[in-house]
Amino acid sequence: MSSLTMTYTRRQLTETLRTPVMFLTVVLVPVAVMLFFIVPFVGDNPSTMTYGTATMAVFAVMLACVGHFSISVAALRESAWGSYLRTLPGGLAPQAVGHLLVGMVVVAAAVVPIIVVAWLFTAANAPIGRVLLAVGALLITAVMFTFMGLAVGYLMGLAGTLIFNSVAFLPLSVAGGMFFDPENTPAFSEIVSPFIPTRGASDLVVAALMPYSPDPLALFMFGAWTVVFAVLFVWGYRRDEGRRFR
Amino acid sequence: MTVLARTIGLSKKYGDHTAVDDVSLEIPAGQVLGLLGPNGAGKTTLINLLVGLRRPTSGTVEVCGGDPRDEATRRVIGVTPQETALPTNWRVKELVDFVSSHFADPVDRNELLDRFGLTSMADRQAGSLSGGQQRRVAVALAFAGRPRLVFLDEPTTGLDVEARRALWDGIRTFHADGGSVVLTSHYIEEIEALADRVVVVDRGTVLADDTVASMRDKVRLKRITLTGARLPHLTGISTTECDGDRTHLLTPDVAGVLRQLVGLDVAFDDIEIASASLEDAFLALTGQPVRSGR
Repeated sequence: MSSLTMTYTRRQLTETLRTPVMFLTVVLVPVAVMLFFIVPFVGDNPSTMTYGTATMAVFAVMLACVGHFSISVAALRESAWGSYLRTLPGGLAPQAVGHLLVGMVVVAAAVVPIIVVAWLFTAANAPIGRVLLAVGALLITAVMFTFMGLAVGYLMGLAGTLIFNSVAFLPLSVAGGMFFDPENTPAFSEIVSPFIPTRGASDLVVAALMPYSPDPLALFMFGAWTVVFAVLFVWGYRRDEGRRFR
Repeated sequence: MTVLARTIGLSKKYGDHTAVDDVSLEIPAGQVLGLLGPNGAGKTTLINLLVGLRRPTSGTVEVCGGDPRDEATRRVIGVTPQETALPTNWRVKELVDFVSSHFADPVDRNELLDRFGLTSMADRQAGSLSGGQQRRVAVALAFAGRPRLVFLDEPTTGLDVEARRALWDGIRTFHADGGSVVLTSHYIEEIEALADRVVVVDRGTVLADDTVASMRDKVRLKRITLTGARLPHLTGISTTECDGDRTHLLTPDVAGVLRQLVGLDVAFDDIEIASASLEDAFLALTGQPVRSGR
């Protein structure tokens, strides 16, 4: 890793930890939702709890990736310091790698508490091989959510990004069927959810962790969304001129 | 003559507003070019187009033979962040090291700090510095990577005399070593002190493009303002303007005009004599008054 990449990574990590509003939200909300709304109801049911753990891990990855990347990109785009950085040589890579590494730290900080809670306080269980497989699946979903966060950060201003972060996650999760018992899903969710990116993401991780047959349409749409968000991100990055006023 | 930067028919529109309108300029190596103009004239937009922060609506910009956004271009230009943009919790030396790490052959940190009179502030956090000190740090950062061409947007606006001198010295050292600078200012003295060439911009267009020596001759005019009934024909007057009962005379020869006024026994009172202002320079360089009431 080049020294410039290390410099950016160290700086971004310091900034993230120094003003930890987003960081704490991302780390605490998913595990709090799990402790208050899942563990008390299905904590002693091994298969439902394992399923719940997988979807909560996806939820945490979504919050971490979308939150971290959209806010850090939007804030940098609107700051005069961000404008200045754009005039320096070195290319996008050192900054981008820095963002990715710090993003992974944020993701880990969000996901690890969920795994620990599931392991210590609930009946959730899975063989270690499946757990590792599920971690791999989580990384794949992290790619999609990262593109989503980058697209949001580059296409919306900081104000829009903050609003997106406070209102979008619940509808995305509910529409993607993440909080429903798979045996007992409402009819509308069965119809809508395969088209929502969160459904494919949670199917992927659940199928990696336990016996479960994922919805092929949902998996296809997951791939399609990944491409769509990646294209939106690249387009947004290319047209970006920092903050604009009319 | 090596041309370091060139714009051809460059325009930038923000919605209906045209900030830069069909500007063609060539900036040769080793020149300090002063962009002079009132607020809102389009100076900053022009700089932002040259450094690649904004994209032209039409026309082309070429810096050091390439697009301003090219990696190769960024290695040889120096840009100043707005001083309010400096991350407040970074120390001055950390800022310098951070910017330097982007370049292959940066200036030694101590040498750079010394050149801009910042040595004693190396260990202080940017947020603890005064506005003027932050401005000096920001300007120093533009020179960190041994650029060939530096862009400075209003480098000394709001600085006290001492800080301004320190900055001017730093810029002069760079120029003496062969570096080129594009500098915006609305201070004539600053353009006079630093620049070889002056480009007067207003409403996004170039109104005049001249050497500083020639501008200086034109701007050596003094403004005589007096209240008087009727003025006879006077010699040695460049421009006469009337403003109510006040008459403004621009002249290179104040003593001669006064002698004529007294010799011809002209009745006048409330006389003021002042150095030519930016407005006067505008008038002298462009033959048209600076816009007002915006």
